[in-house]
Amino acid sequence: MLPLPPEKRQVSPFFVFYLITSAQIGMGILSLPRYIVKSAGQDAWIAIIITALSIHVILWMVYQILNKGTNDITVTHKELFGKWLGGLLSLALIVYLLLVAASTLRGYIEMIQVWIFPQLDTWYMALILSALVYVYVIGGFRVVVGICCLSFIFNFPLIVTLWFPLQDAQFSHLFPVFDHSAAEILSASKKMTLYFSGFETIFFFYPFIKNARSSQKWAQYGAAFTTFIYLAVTIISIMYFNKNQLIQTIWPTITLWKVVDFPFLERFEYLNLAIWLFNILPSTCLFIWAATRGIKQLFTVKQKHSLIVLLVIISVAAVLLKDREQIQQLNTMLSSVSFYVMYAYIPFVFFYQLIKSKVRKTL
Amino acid sequence: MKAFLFWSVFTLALLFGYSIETKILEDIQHISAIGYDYVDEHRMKGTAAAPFYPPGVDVQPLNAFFTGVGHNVLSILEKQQIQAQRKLATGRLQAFLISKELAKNGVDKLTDPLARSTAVGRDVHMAVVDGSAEELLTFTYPNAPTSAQYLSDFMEKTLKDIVPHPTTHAFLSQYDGFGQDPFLPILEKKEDHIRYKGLALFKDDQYAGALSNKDSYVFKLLYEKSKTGTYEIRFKNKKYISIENIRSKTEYKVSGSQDNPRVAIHVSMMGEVRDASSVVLKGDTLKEVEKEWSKEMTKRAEKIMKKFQELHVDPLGIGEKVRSHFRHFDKEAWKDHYPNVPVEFHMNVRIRNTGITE
Repeated sequence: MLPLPPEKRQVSPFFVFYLITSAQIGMGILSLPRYIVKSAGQDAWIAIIITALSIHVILWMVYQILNKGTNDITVTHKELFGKWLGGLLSLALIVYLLLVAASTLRGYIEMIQVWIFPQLDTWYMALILSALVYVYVIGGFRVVVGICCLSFIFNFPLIVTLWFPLQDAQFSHLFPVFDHSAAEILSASKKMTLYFSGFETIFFFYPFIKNARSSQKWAQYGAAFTTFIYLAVTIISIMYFNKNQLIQTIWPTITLWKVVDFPFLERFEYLNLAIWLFNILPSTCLFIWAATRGIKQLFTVKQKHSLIVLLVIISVAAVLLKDREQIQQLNTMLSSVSFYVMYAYIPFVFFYQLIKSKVRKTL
Repeated sequence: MKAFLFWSVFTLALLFGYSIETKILEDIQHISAIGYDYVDEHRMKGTAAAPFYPPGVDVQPLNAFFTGVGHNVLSILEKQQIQAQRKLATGRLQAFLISKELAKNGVDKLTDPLARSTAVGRDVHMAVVDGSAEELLTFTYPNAPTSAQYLSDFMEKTLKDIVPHPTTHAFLSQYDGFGQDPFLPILEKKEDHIRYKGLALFKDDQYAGALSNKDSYVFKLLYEKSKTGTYEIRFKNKKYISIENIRSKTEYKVSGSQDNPRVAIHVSMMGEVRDASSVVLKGDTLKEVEKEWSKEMTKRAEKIMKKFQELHVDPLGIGEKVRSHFRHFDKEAWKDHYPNVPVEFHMNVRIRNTGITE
């Protein structure tokens, strides 16, 4: 039996709200409208709602799994599937989280290379970002929660700036509603899953929440808030851009910020790109923290040591992704992986646990 | 102590061990306005106005222009760069001019870098120049220190009230998308001033026709909500009355079937009489003025619409409105439908007051 974290390492349940939103909102939102409009056109917002509803159900499943267990997912895995198979599943989940972290990190570096410094070397930026992640994660879970909380405050003004593109928006772009077939909308929904990924980290930080059972409410609110942000960005992008233009624009959300014009600041998007660091940093920190925590539970390696190894691996992975095409490939791969994690793996564990406990009762 | 030493060395190494090209405001020269002229089928001539600010306190900027001939915007920029004393930057570009002759040959190759570049903003004002863009840019105007400043002020302050906002974003979005054709204001250099001449209508990326100054006023009312503009009507006995628009709203109503769509444009306007020499505006006369105003506007709007349909251009975005009305819209068929679609105008006008005299 692995020990539970002491109370002084735990955080209040409502912090789960910040953890979920900052884990989910990362690089994805910058290119989100483009991918879903490609398949569902002006009905893309319906696809977001469909995915969001399913995410709420899956989040409920995640909590059911963890509530029945006694510690985090690694312990539950071991109880359900035995030492080896359970350990393998936990390891797969850790690798998945690391890949999401690597893709986030590389995505941010790419964005800086395209928008601000074309000459910037990937390794240089990866080094700086890894050092930042190290500083936060080494402080422990409570510090990671702190940066998640701060990022929420830093990023809130960015939502307000969506008002500027709204002035040039064309309402008619949203009509007619339901112009696309169910298959098209569902394929957009499928693409959406990667953008909602990140809440899987609950599997690892669950024991660190006080009265963890009661935190489900906050987790659901967090997912709902993410949905709201995604909806706002997508609907405004659809109204602001022409469909063809939106599909060709790589980062529609940043292009939206291009119209933001203050008397004291001509080009707002550059400031935004800098602020965006506080959007990718907490999610990367959270993913890496979850990975180190998982490794500690599996192999009893000190988090301090595994952290350095993981950061090196992630930086190397980021440097190895040379151009846009490779980044795109990683994202496409991750997109289908996260689809299976959410809609196959989590329900599988949920039902397996349910059946197993039923069987045990009847015996 | 060891950790402190490590982080100090780490930070110092990162700060000083790596250099990246910087753009410092004092070391670069901003292009404020840029204009393109037609040379031959494949080449064009670009003129960049990049005012130079000499060092010192309270100095006037010096007019500086760089021209180059090339196939596309970037190769021209390279040629402009080799004449400039500092690195040219496009981050603060405010006006983008295209000569009418070039516009007639298509502006496709001009707009691509505007959409692609991270540096150029989305709210750069665009315009078509009747005549030579180079001449308009390089002339020394008596009412502004630099031509670029005159131009950007003119586009931002004056044109704003006369035409729908002619920004890059609007142009690109109309040009790329379905259901609307782009339009841009036409400027010309008349004696020693810049003058607004009318509205250039584009079909795809080519200049197809123009609206006169007075027509473009009605166009703005049909196109968007507006709170500006003065319109002159001819009243009985050749008396002229000027009415200022206080606020107007426009609404498009689509009816009929997809193969047989009908469009009705409802404009409601509220005005104030500003100039009515030797007409007493009371009771019935006021009603008559309203009627006359509405009649003239409808007549003009119908004339404009007829022109659009004859030219096969759709700057009002009627295609987009019709598309948003019908499910599974056939975009190809619409192109054939458009010239024959019946468009009705309903002008609902009201004169709110007549100034401080009757």
